[in-house]
Amino acid sequence: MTEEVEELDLQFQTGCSTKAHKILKKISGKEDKDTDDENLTNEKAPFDSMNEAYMFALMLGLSRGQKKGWKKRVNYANFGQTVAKKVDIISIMKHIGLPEDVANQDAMETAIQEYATWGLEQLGESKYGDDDYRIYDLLNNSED
Amino acid sequence: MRIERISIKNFGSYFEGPHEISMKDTSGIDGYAIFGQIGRGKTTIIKAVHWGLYGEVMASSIIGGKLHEKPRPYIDYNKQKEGLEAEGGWCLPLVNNNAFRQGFDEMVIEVDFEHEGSNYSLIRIAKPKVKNPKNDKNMGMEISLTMDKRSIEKHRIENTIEKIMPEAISQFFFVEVDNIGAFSELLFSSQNPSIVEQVELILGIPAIDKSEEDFQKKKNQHSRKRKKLMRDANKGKDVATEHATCEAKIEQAKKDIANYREQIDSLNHEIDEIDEKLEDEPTATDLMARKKDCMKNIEDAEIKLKEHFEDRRMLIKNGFWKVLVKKGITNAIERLTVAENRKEDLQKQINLEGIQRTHHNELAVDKGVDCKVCGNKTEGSSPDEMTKAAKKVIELDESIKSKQEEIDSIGRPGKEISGLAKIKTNVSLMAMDEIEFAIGRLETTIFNEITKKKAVEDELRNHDELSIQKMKNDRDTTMKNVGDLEGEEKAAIKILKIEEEKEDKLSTQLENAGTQSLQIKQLKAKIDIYNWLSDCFKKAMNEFKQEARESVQKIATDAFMEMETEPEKYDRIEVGDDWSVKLIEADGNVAPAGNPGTRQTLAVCVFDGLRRTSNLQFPTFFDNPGSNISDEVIQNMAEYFWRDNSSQMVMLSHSGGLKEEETIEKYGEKLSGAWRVVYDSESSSSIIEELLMK
Repeated sequence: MTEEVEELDLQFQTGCSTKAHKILKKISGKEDKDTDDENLTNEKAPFDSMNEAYMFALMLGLSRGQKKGWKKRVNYANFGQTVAKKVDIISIMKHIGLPEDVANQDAMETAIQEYATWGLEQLGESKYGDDDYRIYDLLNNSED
Repeated sequence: MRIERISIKNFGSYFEGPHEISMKDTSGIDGYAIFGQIGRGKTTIIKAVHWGLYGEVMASSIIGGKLHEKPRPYIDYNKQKEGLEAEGGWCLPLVNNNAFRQGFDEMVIEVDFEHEGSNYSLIRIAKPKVKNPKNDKNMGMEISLTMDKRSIEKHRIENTIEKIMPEAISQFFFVEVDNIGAFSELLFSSQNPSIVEQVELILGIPAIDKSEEDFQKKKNQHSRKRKKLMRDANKGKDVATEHATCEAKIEQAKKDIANYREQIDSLNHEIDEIDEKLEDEPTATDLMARKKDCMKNIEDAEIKLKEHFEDRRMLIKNGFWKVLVKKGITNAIERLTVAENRKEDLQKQINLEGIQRTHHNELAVDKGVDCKVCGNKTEGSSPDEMTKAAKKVIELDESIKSKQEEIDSIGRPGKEISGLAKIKTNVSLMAMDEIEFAIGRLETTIFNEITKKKAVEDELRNHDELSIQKMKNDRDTTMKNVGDLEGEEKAAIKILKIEEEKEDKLSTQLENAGTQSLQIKQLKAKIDIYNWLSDCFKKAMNEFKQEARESVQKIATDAFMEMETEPEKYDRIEVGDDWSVKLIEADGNVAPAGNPGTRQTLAVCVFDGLRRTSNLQFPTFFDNPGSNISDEVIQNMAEYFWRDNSSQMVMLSHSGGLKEEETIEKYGEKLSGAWRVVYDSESSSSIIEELLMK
């Protein structure tokens, strides 16, 4: 297994469900923007960038062991170049996730996107009002 | 007065009914206990008796440090039918919720009691006047009272009850958690006129005051009559004419003063009313200032809110996601550390086995060698030893191979540990909680301020500045009129004083002017008697007050020493002339009665002192003051109150203070009756169960 893990490549186009993608834009204050480089459109947004939000959602799904698939997938970015630039994601997945998540390249890519989709949809539900999200209540029952 | 029966129907937590308590057979013992968990309906029994007697039950609550009181309504449609919680939710309706929902026919309290040898039976009923009552306007109340089976006329019932026990002093006998709490707060603070009035009322001081006033009145009547007779006796003489004129002037001056006073009081009342209205009607400037305040508060909160949102983003930016996997990473590092240790152990074992293998390998081929120094040949291994050594070499080879395979399967945990260690974080979830709590608080502030601002804007729209100015002008004019009238009053008082002095001199002249008739002499004797009686009463009242104060002080001190768990720490309870209460420590210093339990115990003791000093015979309902007073003190209270059978003592206790079994075991002989109040979910009602005494 060790050898297989080391061969996995993080340079792939990651994404999530259409619904999760909308949430991703909202929670990072980029609702009306096309890229992640521009300023916030919503000052209440909990995340500064979509990369941070995606990473957070992925870890949320991973820490809870929850995945969600999709009917229609939206491509978001190159995972290795944007989301997980300096993080040893494979190692984290190996130790916190399921063995099959890192069994091969396809399994890993699917797992990452399914964890992130679940996490984003959860974030979308932790709403107190218009674009007013709360993170603590969502995390209070998480692994920590 | 002693209560013989209480019957409750559709009142408070008691659905339908009648739910009854009978206290008829006493055999000279007048102690009673009612047990039940908190919220089961014990206090409702006290409220029911109170409502039966006085037709009203007050609810009290301390809001913003102030004691608020208001009568409990019969029904509350919103709360009981719609389940809505309105402002003032502490003021619960009297009619049972289930009864109200099911369209009740009546709420009834019956109290049978004995007072001064007569048997009374009181029935108070509240019933709807319409089919679906919405509020108390749709409710009616009926009352009947019989004395020795003869009906008392309706208009005399309230008076009759008030004579037996005035409502104002009934709280000294219905000792509830709520009112004792309020009383203990008030008793130890500065003088409170209403408390002083109630304390003096229970001791009967106003009645003595009234008698003294009556004597003064009688004396004045006789004095006027005597002077008239003296004038008549001296008719035609200048002194008589002058005296008559003088008296007329005094009479007129008194009338004028009373008249001015009446007008001044009335105008002052008008000023108070204007002031009240002005207080409710702020000026446009006030409203604008309030709006500005709201806007400033909103702006400040928004700035802070923005900062908190930014803080949250910063927290997340700095790898907050690590918090999510913190525990998993810690566990993984622990597992990897165990694996790393195992790997090291295995390596050590391989090294050791390698040395052993070399040794056995040498033994397996050792045929003896020639010594290069002495030329002798060493012995070498025997064939048997060689075989054994060769076998051992094979065994060690297998063991080393298996251990090496295990090492290979473990991989490189050390490298993985250092990789995972980078993901560990010291940030905790609480950091997020603190920021989001502050965000929530600020959002509430902004919402409240926006609501307030909107209300101020509405007020501004409907504001009538002209009418306020008119009120202010009216107030100024009225104040001026009061000033003028006070001047007139002062002048009339001056005239009165002059004329009274003159009258005094003329009276002396009249006395000396001629012979006095027998009637005049008799009147003089009567005036002297009334003067003497008035003085005696004044003196007696002072002495009575002093004695009453000392009696309250002694009884309260004795009770406190008996109830307190460490009585040696205290010397006495001191009751001041103004009925303020101090607890004096053994060293003579005033004890800081900061502990609510001590304050409530003190209040209970002072209440007892007042009740006993008053000699009023009335049942005392003592609702266990609950958590503030320790269980030991509660036990001591029970011992103290149930020992005395001079009047009925009903103690109510939840499970904390007086435990049912323990209490019956310990005080059973001192009790004439005991009940348990439970809530029966099947009938959705409080139920009173009579407990069998030993």
